[in-house]
Amino acid sequence: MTLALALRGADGLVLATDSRVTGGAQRSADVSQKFLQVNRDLGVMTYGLAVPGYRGMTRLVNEANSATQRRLAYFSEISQLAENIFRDEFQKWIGELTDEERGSVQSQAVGFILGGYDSFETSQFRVLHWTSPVFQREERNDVLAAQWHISGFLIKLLYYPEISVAQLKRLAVFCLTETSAAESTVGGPIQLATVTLAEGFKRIYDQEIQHLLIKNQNYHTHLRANLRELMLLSGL
Amino acid sequence: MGTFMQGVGNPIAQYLIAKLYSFDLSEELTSRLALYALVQSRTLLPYPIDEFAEIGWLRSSVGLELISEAYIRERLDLVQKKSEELRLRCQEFLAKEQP
Repeated sequence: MTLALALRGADGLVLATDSRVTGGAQRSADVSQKFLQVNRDLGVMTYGLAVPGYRGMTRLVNEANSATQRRLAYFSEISQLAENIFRDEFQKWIGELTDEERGSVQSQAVGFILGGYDSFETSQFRVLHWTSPVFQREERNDVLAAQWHISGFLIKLLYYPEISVAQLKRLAVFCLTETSAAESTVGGPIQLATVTLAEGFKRIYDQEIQHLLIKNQNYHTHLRANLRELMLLSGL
Repeated sequence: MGTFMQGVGNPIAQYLIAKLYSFDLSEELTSRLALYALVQSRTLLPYPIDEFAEIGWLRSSVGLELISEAYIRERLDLVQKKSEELRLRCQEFLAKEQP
């Protein structure tokens, strides 16, 4: 499993995932690449089944930036291409399975999130979401996917619509840390990116993530102290 | 007292119980925690969870004692108020902190 987040702030988006892959011969390894940059303003993320997820993302990046054909610039054409590729790669992957394996593939086993700034058509930050087996496009304000439950609780507590991207990065890291402490299928290095008008898609690297993790220690303490105080210690 | 069971996967209740439960909590505090987990689960999980909450305290001396509806209703109202206070405190804290 995974935790995949696409969160909307007042001045942009934050995309975040963990890097744990579970199942297969290794059972669990923190090596999975779960998002990629598509162009200056767009990123794509996947969750669930690692093989069709990674194939779908890499093919989208390659075809949207083809050296032999016109490079795609419009959000609508990239999202249409994405939908076709995600469905096609999932069907190909299903075709490689035995009948028994195919029977055990669950609905919504793999999902994709495309998030970024649509600079030519709507001039808006947009988040699209697809899940197997139908890959029907869904436009959302935010997406919390796969092991989303704890983040759902935390975002209900901590999120406010005016939040800045700078604060939202901390919130995304906080959600991933709290979830990985409770769910064994979520963990490993955090993969994080922001999309803003000024900088487009910007990958946040390990050093800054480490800095956010350290700064967030206050949040963890504050949340636990307030939960205890209000729910257990204060007089009802 | 000390075992929380669930019929279907409930990561929110698991998370809250892991954060807040300890073996030395009184029946009153354990009931509050259970109601808080119930309210949060009902709000967030995509399963139909009915509107009723029931609490029973099981003691070796008197057996099962079902807690009155009035007690539960009063605590549910207050748990909801405390939830709102918690949300405001957390958001205020987040907004004050430098990014």
